[in-house]
This record gives sequence, C-alpha cells and structure tokens, in this order.
Amino acid sequence: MVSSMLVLKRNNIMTALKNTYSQTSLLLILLCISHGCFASTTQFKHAHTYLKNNTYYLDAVYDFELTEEAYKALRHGISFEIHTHFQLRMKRKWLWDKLITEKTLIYKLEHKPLTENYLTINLTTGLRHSYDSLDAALSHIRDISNMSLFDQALLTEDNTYVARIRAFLDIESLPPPMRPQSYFSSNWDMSSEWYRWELVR
Amino acid sequence: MVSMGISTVNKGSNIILFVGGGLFIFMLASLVMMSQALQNSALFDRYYSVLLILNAIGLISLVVLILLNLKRLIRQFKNKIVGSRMTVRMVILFSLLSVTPVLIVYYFSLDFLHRGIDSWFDLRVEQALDDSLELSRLALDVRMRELLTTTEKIADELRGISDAELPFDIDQIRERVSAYELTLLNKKGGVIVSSSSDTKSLVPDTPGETILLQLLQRNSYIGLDVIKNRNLLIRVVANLPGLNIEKEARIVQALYPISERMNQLAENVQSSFIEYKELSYLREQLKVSFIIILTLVLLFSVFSAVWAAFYSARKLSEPVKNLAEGTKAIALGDYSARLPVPGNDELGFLVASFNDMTDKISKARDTIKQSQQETESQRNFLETVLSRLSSGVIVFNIEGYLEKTNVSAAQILQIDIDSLEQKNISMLAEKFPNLKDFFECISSNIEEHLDEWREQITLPNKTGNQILIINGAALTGPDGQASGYVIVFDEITALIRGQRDAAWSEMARRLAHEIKNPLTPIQLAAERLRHKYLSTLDPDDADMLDRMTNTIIQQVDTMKEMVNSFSDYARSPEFNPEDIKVEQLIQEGRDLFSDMNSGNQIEIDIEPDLPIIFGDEKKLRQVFNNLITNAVDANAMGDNKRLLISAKSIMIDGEKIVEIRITDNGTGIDPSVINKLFEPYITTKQKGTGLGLAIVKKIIDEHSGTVWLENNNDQNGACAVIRLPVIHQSNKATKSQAI
Repeated sequence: MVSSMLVLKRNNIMTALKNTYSQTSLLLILLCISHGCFASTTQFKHAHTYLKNNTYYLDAVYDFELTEEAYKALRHGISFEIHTHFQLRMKRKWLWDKLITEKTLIYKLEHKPLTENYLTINLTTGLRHSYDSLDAALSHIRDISNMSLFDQALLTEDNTYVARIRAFLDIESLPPPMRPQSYFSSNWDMSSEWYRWELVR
Repeated sequence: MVSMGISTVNKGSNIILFVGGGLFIFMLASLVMMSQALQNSALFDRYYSVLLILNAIGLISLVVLILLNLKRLIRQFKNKIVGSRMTVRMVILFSLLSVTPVLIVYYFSLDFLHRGIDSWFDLRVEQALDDSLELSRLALDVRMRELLTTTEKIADELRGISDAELPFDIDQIRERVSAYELTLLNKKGGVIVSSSSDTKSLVPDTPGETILLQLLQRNSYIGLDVIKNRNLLIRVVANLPGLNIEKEARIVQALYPISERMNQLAENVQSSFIEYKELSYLREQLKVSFIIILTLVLLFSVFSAVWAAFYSARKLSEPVKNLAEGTKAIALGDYSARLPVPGNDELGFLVASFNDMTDKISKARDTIKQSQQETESQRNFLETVLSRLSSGVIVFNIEGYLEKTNVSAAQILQIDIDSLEQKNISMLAEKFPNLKDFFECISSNIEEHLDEWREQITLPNKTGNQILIINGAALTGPDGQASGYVIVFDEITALIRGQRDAAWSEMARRLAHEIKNPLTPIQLAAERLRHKYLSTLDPDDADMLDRMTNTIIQQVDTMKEMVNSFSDYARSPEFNPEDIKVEQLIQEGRDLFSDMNSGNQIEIDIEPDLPIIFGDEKKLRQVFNNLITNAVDANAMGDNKRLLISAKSIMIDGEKIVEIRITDNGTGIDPSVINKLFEPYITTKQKGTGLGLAIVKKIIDEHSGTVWLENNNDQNGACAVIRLPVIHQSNKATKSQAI
C-alpha cells in the first residue's frame, strides 16, 4: 500500500516536473532517494549442481515477478532480457576467490499483441516458446533444469569451490530513453542477491 | 628573461588549447553518438549509458577548466596584473555574445521538442492501429473457425482408428487437411502419436497447461501461435469425443500454417502496433532523454563558449600584457626585452614596432652612455688637473655665474669652496667684501668683452697685503660666440716678498761693505782729532771741538747700529728648533720689561696646559721682545700704561694653533699703514730702523706661522697677533728639515 502510494506520488511528480533539465535532475535525485525504499522480490528458492557423465549440471528455481511498471512496459511492446548468471569460484586463503568459470543464460521476454501470447527466446540457443499467460512464460524462465555448466576436470580435490548464481533484469536491454531512470528506480530493480553453495570434487 | 617567460607561457597555452580542443571533439562525438542511440541506432544503443556518463565527466572537466580559469583571472584581477581588466571585459563580452543566442535556441528547441513528440501521438492513430490489429484477428478468425470444424472432424475420425493403425493414418489425415503438424495426446499432454510436415522436427510441439485445463472443461482451443521460429500458425486443440475420460481421454492438436501474404500482413500490423505502443509508453522518457541531450548540448555549447572566451581573451590580451610588461621593463632601464610578434595583424605590427623602438632606444642609450663615460673621463681629467694646479681657476658662464672653481682658488682667496657655487659675480663681491677688488677687476674685464687680459691687484689682508696676478680669457662655444670666461690667478705675495727680501739683503750687504768699513776710520779719526787738539786749543775752541767730535762719534755709532740691524735682517742665522713652552717665553718677556721700570702694567692671561710648540727659542724670544717693545713704545704717550699678553690654543681648519696676543692701550695704528708695517724700513716711530717688525715677520714666517697687527675695536690701542702651529712629535723631523 505504501509502495503504491509512493509510486503514485512519484508518477504525479514526474507529470508535474517535466520539460526542463533542472526538473529532470530533481526527478533523478528523488528517484535515487526513493530507490532505497523498495526491495526486489527476486530471490532463489533453491539451486544445486550435480555430476553426470563428467559434467556438472544445474537445477535451480527462483522467484521472479514483474513489477507493475515492468508489466505495463511489456504490454506496451518493450522487450526484456532476463539474465541468470552462474559463477564458479575457487576459495583462497589470503586472496579473493578466483573465478574458474562462469555461464550466463539469457532469456528475452516479449509480448505479442496479435496472439496475446508471451514469447520467451533463449538467446543462447535461439529456442522460442510461446505462452498464453505471463506466468507460464516466467515459469519457463524461472525453472532451470539440466543446464550444462562445466567439465569436472575444472575442479581439483585439494580446493574448495563456491558456486553462486543470481538473476536480474538487464537494464541495458531496455530502450535508451528508459535506462537513466531505470537505474535509479525500484520499479526496475528485479535483481536477486547472489545465491551461494559450496562445491567439492 | 621576458622572452623566456613568454615562451613558457606559449607552450602552456598550446597544451591547454590541445586539451581543450580534444575535450571539445570528444564531447561533440559523444553527443552525436547519444543522439544516434536515441534513434534506435544498433551501433550506439548499447553504449548509451556509458556515453551519458562520459558526457557528464566531459562537462565536469569543462566546468573545472572554467573554474580554474576563473580563479586565475580573479587572482590576477585582485593583484592588478596588467591585462586582467581587459581579459575580464573580453570574457564577459564573449560569454554574453555566445551564450545569449544559445539560450534562445535552447528555449525554443524545448518548446518544439515537446510539441514535436506530442504530435507523434494521436488518438485516431492509436484507434486505427487497435482496429487494424482487431481486423487482422477477425480475418484469421473465419479461417480459424473452419479449421476448428476440420479438427473436430479429425478428432471424430481418430476416435474410430485403432492405436495400431494410428501411425499410418495420421499422416494421411495431416496431409489431407494440409496441417503443419498433427498430434494425438493424452489428457496430461503426453504425445501418443504425431505427424509433421517438417521432417527435421523430431519433437512435436505440445499445448500448454492452460490449454489442457481448458480442454478438461470440454472446450476446444483455437488460437494463433509462433512455434519453433516459424511464422504464425493456427493452433487448434480438441477433445476426442466419446472416450472414457478417466482412462482413455485423448486430445488432438493440429497446427495449421497461414498463407505467406496473410502472415506478412499480420506481422506488419503487429510490428506497427508494437512500435506505436512502445513509443507512446516511452513518450515522457523520450522527452526527458531529448531534454537531457539538448541540455547537455546547451551546457556543452555554453561551457565551450565560456572556455573559448577565456582562451581567446587571454590570447588577445597576451600581446597587450607583454607590451605593458615590456614598457615597464624599459621604464626600469631594461632594454633587452624582446616581445614575441603575435602575427601579421595590427597587433603584430604594433609589437614589431615596439621591438624596433626598444632596439633603437637601447642603441641610443649605449651611445649616450659611451659619450657620458667619455665626458666623465674628460671631466675627471680636468678635475684632477685643476685640483693639482697651484693657480686658482674660476670659470664664469656668459651670464656671470660661477660654474667651476678649484681648490687652489679657495685656498688663495681664503674662502670656503662650497660658498662659491652658483653665485653671480656681483653677489660674490657683496658676500666677500675683502675680495671686492678681486671680483670687480674680473667683472670690469668681462664687461669689456676682452678675449684675454692680465692684471695684478693687491688685496688687503689681516696678515698683510696679498698680491694676485690675474689672467682672464673668454671661452668660445661651438658657435664661435663667447660662452663663458676662465679666470686663472696666482698669489705672488711670497714671490714679491722674496724679491724684496733679496733686495734688502743685497742693500744690507752693500751697506755693511760700503758704509760700515769707512765708519771705523771716521770714528778713530774723530777720536784722534779730539785727543790731539783738545788740550792745545783755547777753552772756547776746545769746547767746540769736543762737541763736534762727540757728535761725529755718536752719529758713527748710530750708523753702525743701523748697519748692524740691516746686517742682522739680511743674515739668516742657523735655525735651531726645539720644544718651547710659550708661557715661559712670555713670562721672561714680562720680567724683562718689568725690570726696565717702563711704567707699564703688564698683565698675562695664559690658558692652562697650553700646547708645546716646536721652534727656535732665541728667535721667538726676539719676536716677543720686539713686539713688547713696540707695545711699550705705543703706551709711552698715554697715562694709563697697560699691556696685556694672552695666549690660548685654537683650532683652525682642523689644525691646532697657539694664538698669542700682545695688546696695548696706546693711540693705535693708522689703518693706511697697518698692512705695510711688516715691510722693512717702514715705521711710525721717530727713532728706529723700521726693521723690527720686518724681522718679526721673517721669523714667524720661518715658523710657518702668521702675524698681523690690528686696532682694538672697543678701546684704544692696537694688538699684535701671532699664530704658531702646534706640531706633533712625528712631524718634527719633517718640519725641521723644511725649516
């Protein structure tokens, strides 16, 4: 309720304070201030790796919901890129963890007004899936199973490894006019924290 | 030094220009890329945020540059550095000239921007797009209904086919109805059998959960879909009728292709719709973005213009500043400053002219300096010559003002040399009454405009007459006219005296030789006459002979005394100097004359600790005796016979002198002869040879002293003044030799 009121207030302010550079600057400042009031709902429920045929695979499920503003933008033809970023890091005693390998799964989400479907495109494989509901499309993105990660040879027995994963909406995939504002707006903060688990060969 | 400083400034200025120019080009390119990014440029789209940040950094850099320039300008203005006021005025002028039109353009651009973006959107266009999308759906709807009927018939047909025959029959059915893919599934979406026209497709497309749920409610599904990167397809899903729902419930899904043309048209409608919707959604953000870019352009233009104003003002004022500094350097006497010529314009011509002028002034100064040195050298030479001359030299200009004199002139005239500076000849005559004859002699000759003249004059002096011989000559200027007069004079008093002394000595010698020798026979003859005939003559004749021979003998004695006096004067007895206590000599003199019962009351006033002088005691005793004798003689006619002998030490021109004054209260001395009394054979007394004072003068001269007579001012009588120098022990030998 409070967040709705704040969004409403901000929208009103946006309407009132337009047309001039100084107004835009003020808007950006207000957005920066308001950014801290909202927390993203995106978070991982679970994620784990398993070994099969000398290759590690990933199964993961996370919560990812579009905000009201994001849904509105999607319905207006704005396409999103949702990144699921995996990293494998080796623990070191005195230095920071060393990055061993990383992999990113990128889904593009579009709305097709003619068919009223939501289209997901795996930008890595190019595979498309069409869904007649947004939730079905997001479920396709959120549920990761059998994702091939890396070869077992990358791991050595003497070391401890940390696997971590996070998901986020790529602001840079938005049209340029939206980006400056999106960086400072909680409406577009749909990134999760890193979800970590240890990995030993 | 000035040139080196200017060179360093130019180097720094070039670096600033290079950095500023680089920043300008970078920001311009960055703004162009940002503008392209907003217009959906694939190339710059990804870098929009980076470009925005870079532009902000560029602007901050410009602001920093301007602030640095401003700070420097304020500091220069406060310190009143030359050219700072001009730079301030030019910066303000340039800034106003450049910023004003940019601001006007900005204001109107903002207005046009709002109007322009608003004009993109129209309710009618939006409605038309909605309608076209709906029309597309409707156009497909007829075909979709036909395909639904067809699919339901297929479902009916499939119900009668056994599972064993299905793999063979389903291909025929699919080909018959021209479907892209035909699949028989169970209620959970599991594929039982499938047929596809795409031989590469191994896995059939299955309906989603929502479709399956819809079918559970015995409703068929029909809709448009995009499958496997293909164009639009019509998806129809229907239940197979009459089967046991719990065990054998099955569904059939048929995917029908749409004609290429219709597909293309539908895609076009959808793209246009999406594009319009996207634009309408981004309407405000677009405005903000354009305003940001426009504002960045404005700020970039303004800051660039202001910075350029600073740079241009500094470049323009630099030559003026250099000129001012160069002028100041010249004012301080530094003619080595050479200013860099800024270009071929008027300012460059001015600076080049300044350099020429400096060069010429420098050369002229060197020439003048050389001339001055030569003149100074000549002047020093002349000064040296003049200072070493024993003759007095005085130079008057044509107007009669004294221009030059030497030390000897002051010494001869016995005046202070500084008192002669810049005085007119008539003023000098008034200032020095005792030199009146001297200056009047010069003045009269100058007035006669004689080229050369020579005169001898005698100046009255306390110590006697001073005889000068004066030579005058007119100085000729460059135009041949007289520009002044040079007077050279010598004191010939000593020379004249020497000549006179020599003459008197000669006369004395002749007297001794020619007169003294016959006197003795005369006296002896007179005595023999008296002795031989006195007893033989009668008393009357004897008395007469006695008186006459007495007269002869007496007069011969007198003549002998006179001849001896001349002889003494002419002789120069040996000079035996020694330390003498003046008070002792004075005491002896007083005792001598007190014993003579002359009736004079002799008083003595001697300064305690009177310095000892170095001289011949006998000769000085003779001096005191002569002078006291004269004083006693002067008092002889008066009733109150008082005689005062005083002695004291005084300083004259840094030299210690012992002054002895012998004062009587007689009738005084006639002023007409007072300066001649020291000359031989001049006397005011009835008796006497007239050599007493001449001998005094001679002895005092031998002691390097002075002696003169003066009448008492406040009482009767006269005073004889003797001044003798006090000679130090170290100088005694020298003095002795000199004497």
